[in-house]
Amino acid sequence: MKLRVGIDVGGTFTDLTAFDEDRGEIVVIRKYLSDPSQPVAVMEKITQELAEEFGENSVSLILHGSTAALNTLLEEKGVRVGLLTTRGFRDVYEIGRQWRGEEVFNFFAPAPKMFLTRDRICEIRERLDYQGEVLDPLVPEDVVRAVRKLLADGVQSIAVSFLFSYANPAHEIAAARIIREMAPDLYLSLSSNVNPEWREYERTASTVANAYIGPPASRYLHDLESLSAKRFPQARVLMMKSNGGAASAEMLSRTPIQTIMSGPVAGVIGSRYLGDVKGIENLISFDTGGTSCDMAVIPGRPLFKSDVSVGRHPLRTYTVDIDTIGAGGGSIASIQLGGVLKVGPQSAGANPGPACYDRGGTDATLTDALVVLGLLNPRSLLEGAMPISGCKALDAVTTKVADPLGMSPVEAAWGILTVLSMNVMGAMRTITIERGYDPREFTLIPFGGMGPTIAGKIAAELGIGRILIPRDPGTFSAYGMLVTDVQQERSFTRITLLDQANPQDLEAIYRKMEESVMADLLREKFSRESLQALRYADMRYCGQSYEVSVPVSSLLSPEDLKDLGRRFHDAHHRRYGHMAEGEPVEIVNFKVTGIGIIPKPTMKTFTPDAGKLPSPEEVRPVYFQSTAPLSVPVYRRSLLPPGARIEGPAVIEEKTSTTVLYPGQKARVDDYLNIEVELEELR
Amino acid sequence: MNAIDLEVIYQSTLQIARELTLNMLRTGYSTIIKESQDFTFAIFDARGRMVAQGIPQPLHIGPLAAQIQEIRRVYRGKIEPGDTFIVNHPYRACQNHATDITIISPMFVGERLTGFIGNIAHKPDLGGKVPGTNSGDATDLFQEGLLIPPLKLLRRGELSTDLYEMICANTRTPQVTWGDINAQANTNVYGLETFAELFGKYGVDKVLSCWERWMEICEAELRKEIAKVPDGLYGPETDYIDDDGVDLDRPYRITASLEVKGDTLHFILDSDPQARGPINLRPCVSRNFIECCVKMIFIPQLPVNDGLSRPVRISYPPEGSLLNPRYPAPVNMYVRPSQISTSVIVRVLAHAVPGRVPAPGSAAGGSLSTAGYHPKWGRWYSQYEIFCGGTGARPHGDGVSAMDELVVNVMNTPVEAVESEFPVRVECYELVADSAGPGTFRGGLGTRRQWRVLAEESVINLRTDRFKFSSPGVFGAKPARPSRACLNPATPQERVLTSKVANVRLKKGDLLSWELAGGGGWGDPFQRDVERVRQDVLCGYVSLEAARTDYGVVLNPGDLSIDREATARLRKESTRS
Repeated sequence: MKLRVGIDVGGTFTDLTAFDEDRGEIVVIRKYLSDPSQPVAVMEKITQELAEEFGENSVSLILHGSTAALNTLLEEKGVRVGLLTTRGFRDVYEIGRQWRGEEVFNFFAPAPKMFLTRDRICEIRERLDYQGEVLDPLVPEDVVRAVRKLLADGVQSIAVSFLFSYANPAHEIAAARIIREMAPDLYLSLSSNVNPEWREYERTASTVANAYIGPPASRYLHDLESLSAKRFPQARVLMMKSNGGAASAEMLSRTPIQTIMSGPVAGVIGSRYLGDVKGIENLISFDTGGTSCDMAVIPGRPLFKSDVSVGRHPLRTYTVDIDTIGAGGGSIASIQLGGVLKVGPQSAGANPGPACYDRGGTDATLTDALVVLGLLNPRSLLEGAMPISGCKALDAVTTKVADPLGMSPVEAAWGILTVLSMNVMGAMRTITIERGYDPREFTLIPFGGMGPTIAGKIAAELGIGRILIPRDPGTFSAYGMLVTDVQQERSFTRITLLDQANPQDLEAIYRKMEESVMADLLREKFSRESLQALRYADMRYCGQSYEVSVPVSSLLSPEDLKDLGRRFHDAHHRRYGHMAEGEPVEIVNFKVTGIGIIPKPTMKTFTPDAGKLPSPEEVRPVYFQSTAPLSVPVYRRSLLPPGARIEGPAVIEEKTSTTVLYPGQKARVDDYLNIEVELEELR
Repeated sequence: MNAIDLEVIYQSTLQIARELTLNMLRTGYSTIIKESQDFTFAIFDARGRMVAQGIPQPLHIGPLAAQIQEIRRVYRGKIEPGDTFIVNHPYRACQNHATDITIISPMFVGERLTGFIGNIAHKPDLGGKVPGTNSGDATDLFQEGLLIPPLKLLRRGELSTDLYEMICANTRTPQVTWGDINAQANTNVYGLETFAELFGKYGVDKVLSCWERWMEICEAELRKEIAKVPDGLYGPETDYIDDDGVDLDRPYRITASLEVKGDTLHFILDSDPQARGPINLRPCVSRNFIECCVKMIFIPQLPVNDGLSRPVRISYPPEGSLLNPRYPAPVNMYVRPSQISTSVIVRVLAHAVPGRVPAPGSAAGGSLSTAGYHPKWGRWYSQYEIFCGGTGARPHGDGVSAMDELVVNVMNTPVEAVESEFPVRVECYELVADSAGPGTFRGGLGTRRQWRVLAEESVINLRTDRFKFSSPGVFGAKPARPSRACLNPATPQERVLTSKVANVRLKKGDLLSWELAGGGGWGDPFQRDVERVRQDVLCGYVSLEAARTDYGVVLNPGDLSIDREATARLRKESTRS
């Protein structure tokens, strides 16, 4: 037996999916309660259980995603950090970009978040110019003095961010050497490692955040590795990175910040894989659980971004482009100023949870509304494993929404679903339109506990024609981890006018980066044949201050450069609706992604067995609007054979979620046991 | 209308406004649109009342309502489906300045006019006496760029090629300027289609009555909040602009007071007579930011629409004043009087609704533009950077450094970008200690940036203010430290600059230093928590000396511990005197 195990640690639950590579089947799906105060504990429990059930050598690969690093930042539970900067630029971190952003109408707009106070920022005499040439050499005594002061102040971690270190890291490396001699155990975070790209504020902020989470994050990774080595000596342990690739603890030890979006990203990778298997190009992944909803547009390949904001603190780290809004099963409905119904972003969370959980919650949540409407089972969830109180749901919806608005409970419940769907729909339109796409050309992939329940309504409102619901939607993120590859990246800023560039010089830059990235992957015991390198260039028209990322092939002749220019014009046109072929073009960042390919598991297919739709578990009244209910059959998903066809309205219940087919929607169970839903008409 | 339709239809309207903004950001041509986001969208009903607005720069949305009224007046009975209007004339209706171009499209369902979509976007150049059009020493409107009265850019869907030719012939950057106008018009057309879907889905009457209701809700909630304020006259408060960029020795006064009566607010504005230079301000512009302040203070959680204007009355000084200029007085530096007016309005409101209003910010925001010959690239370059000072203190905490609370919301330019693209070396970018207005809560700090010239020669233009005056703060705070700019500081060649200078020549090796004022303080600084003062000294926001003189806190220079006895004595003396 050869198990590939995906473990997704969320704030509330930890999901486990184990895939048997020999049989091509998923053999274990489990949910555990997370314990954020002892992140390793749940892993200990899981590895122990697996070892007992399947034996010491059963596991060959553990893929792991965790919100631990993210939560350390959000909850501000990192370590005490000091920062060394170039003299004259102590306040780069505090000044930020003098930008209120979305807080346009807030007289009390908060300052950008900082993970240290100004007295722990020390200036060092040194200066490079924009090409990395030394203007003022580093003064070692300044470093010594600063480190002494910071040590006396009790810092556990030091960030170093000098101007133009992306063009020449020598001064940061020299400073690091001095610090290591003085304090070998201190965690060190160098901007030339964390984010060797221009724009000093974002680079510095990322470097400080990396220093802030560095000690706990790397401790966690190493604990995990030794835990696995103890139970499964043969197994490789990998952590999901924000960009959808995976990496070992060793690869991440200097830059744990790369795992910051490790939680939600696996769902996107899983969606892409599912789309590839099904031959569907354009996807929107839609992951909705109790509190939040993560959405990503996947036009062929996942999109990436390099700037994210975590609790008002910017980070520049390469991540899959995911947008999150506060909408989920726990979203609370309330009447607000002006007598208007709002749903979310506040959530009842897992505790007390929706009123129907009967754990003391009295707010009306989306889950309660769905229970009142009959879209969710009014007696129990999770295939009977979790009894709920339909009365409590009705009570909450009645007293908190229906009575104050003078409407019936069913009208109120339908209103809650409608308002929440509209919030999600707005966000989904925003993320597609903003990137130049039309949502109607996409297939929706809903997962998480709540995704399949509301996807049908949202797709109809958006004019989306097809929905694909994976197996075990509630643990789909853990599944996504099973189909990822190991990735290592390099980036390098050098502003290069395309017209005046020599192709051999650029080729040499890429070759050098490729060699370095490949060396990392070879150390991870990949064979040369399983390695691949992709080149990208972040490009722009001269004078712009944003870039478009373009794939690059080999650059051997002037014709290759012309071709690269053409591809940039096209990409700019796609993203921005116009191009300027006469304008000079420049490369800003050179980027290489090295991939260590892990063979993908082959999914077992089932032969269609049409015509044998099992009889429904029950027929219950379900409201699809606020007037009369329909009698709706309720099926158990695990009993649906491949090839089965169901016409909406219908409800399909399973262990981790409930799928709703709205009237007029037609579903078919495919050869992999996914549910494909066709919407009757595009509105 | 039930609460659910009310929410769903209005949220859909706001979503369209958001999509218009995104579409504009995506397809806009110039960096002004893409990076500075210097544009804005709003939706109006058929009577020209604002229903909803898109976010980026709410501060320059004011003219739209007046422009729609002007179009309705001029084109009465001649507004047809497919028409789109263009206008930028600051005195035909209203406009911030001529480089802001407005594009307005009427919405129709069949032949029934159901509303308007309007947007304003700043243009990189529209002719006039200097590149970029806005000249700091302009003395009449005609030096400030091409003037466009309300005209049909699209007539029943067809583009006016006459206008295209005319506009392109009057700008130094025809491709970019027209590219932006085109994006503005196309985005409106996109909006018309999206609104057609909305009207189709819910029905025209239901959508219109939802809009109507939301304006009533905002009005009613605002009136409720105003009614809680004790009746009376607040103010007057007065502040000054350094000069008008033409006559450098003469400051200009701006005064505001507020009469609260029942559930209405009446702002009374006064000012010196209009300036020869371009610091005059059209009334629709000041009306807009007064309404913004009112919204932010009284009903921050509600959307912006016409309902907000209804309880607010504004009286202006007679025509011929700085705040009510007579045609054709120049207006291109409208941001300066906007900042100073905001500052006095905020102070008046601070007295009317204490505890809900911050102290006024620095009002020091402004821009530096530099042009010269790039020795390495062998071509002319032009560099443009925008900075702001600190925000005012809040009733319960300190202000934010390097941020503006209302008028300016534009990013700074990274040092690494500046040096990579232009022949300058930035020698420092830092907070200015002691720049914040001292108070029980202090203002945010201003910043200092210094540039060393590496080209043989370059020319600079500075468009800012607050070199002579500064934020006075509120409730017994001490004034913030003013801004300052000079060449070659602390050398025999030192030359101090005024806040609005044009075409100053610099030579290789010259150092330009600009430091911005901090925000105003809130309350008596001698009441500030001693430990906070010590923290400020520890972090270098306040000097040891200023801790004593501004805050009455004596620290031992060695370990920065508090000398309690000396502090108590000093603070007690101050209350006696």
